[in-house]
Amino acid sequence: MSGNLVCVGTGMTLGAHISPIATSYIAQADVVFSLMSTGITERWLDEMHTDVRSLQYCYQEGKNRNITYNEMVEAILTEVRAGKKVVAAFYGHPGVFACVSHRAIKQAKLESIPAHMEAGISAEDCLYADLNIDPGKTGCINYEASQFMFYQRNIDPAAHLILWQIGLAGDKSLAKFSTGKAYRQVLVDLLLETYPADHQVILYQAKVLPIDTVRDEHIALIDLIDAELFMHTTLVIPPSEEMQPNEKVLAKLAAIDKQELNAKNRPELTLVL
Amino acid sequence: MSNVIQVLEQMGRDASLQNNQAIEQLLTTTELDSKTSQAIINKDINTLEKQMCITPIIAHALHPAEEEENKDENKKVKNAVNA
Ligand SMILES: C[S@@+](CC[C@H](N)C(=O)[O-])C[C@H]1O[C@@H](n2cnc3c(N)ncnc32)[C@H](O)[C@@H]1O
Repeated sequence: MSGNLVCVGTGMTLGAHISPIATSYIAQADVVFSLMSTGITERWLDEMHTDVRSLQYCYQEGKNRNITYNEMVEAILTEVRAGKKVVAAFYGHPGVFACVSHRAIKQAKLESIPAHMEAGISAEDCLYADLNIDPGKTGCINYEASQFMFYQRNIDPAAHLILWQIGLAGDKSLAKFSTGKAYRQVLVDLLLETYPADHQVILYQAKVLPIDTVRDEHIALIDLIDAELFMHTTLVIPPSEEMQPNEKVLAKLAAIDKQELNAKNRPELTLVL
Repeated sequence: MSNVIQVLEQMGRDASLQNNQAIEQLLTTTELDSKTSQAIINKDINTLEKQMCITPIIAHALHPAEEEENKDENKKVKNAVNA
């Protein structure tokens, strides 16, 4: 018997978001691995199948998370290699800011083992609904907060900027579960190069349990330094500027429009012999 | 599935249970003990976790700021450009 791997998402809110196909894969698996965001959602998944194995044991404060993630991949693949139908269930979308599923699928494919991912409802999806933001209106860019700090990135102040894992911002060791004020000060200094200090930013937390309330807290950018941040907080920075017309491109497009119009309006020529 | 998980799941997926009154009504029909029901009504997650003997999860950070493979790929691109 040959094994296979399916990575599924359980969505953000217990009971509300899990898809029929994810539920069915879980029910039909030989083994289910879980990586949930709360103890209660972990229990919910436990009760869906007789062999659910939490990957939480791989985490350890002080241990480089890249090691943790590789251990998780290995735990999953060991069962797949043993010929089992394996499901790895992650909260949210299994492939959004979630490297374990991508790494596991990549490795399985390298070993010619069938593996795929089913989409789920992510924190970003909930954010658009809860905060009434349409990413198509002026654009929206997502970064992992620490990566955003470590590399030279372009900020477009006319678009939304979403920073994930803001509670761990600036952690170069990949070994911390939260970072403090000094790290956040560096992030705020970086953002102040683009945004005014009193620019209103949003601390967002989607509902994980049906009895949770959404966190939609608006604060001045400068107050981010002292704000209460959790591992599941996402920072949303709305645009601070208007979109500026790109005159060069607009002129090129106008020239094409004009050419097309002239071609249309040109009198039809008849050939007189 | 245990009673409390069933109730939470039902609250998550039933459109008619998206208000406090309906939830209180639902809780009168379940066999949950009064402390658990009260924790649900009060949206008191700590007490609910205690009632359910839940061990809190350790972490749910799932994404590294820097992927090991990305770093290698970036280097490869740089070397290719420099070559
Ligand atoms: C490793 S990512 C996992 C994202 C997840 N795969 C998803 O589909 O949303 C963890 C980050 O997701 C965001 N996140 C997780 N839970 C959240 C919640 N309940 N509300 C808002 N953002 C959340 C936070 O930015 C957190 O630091």
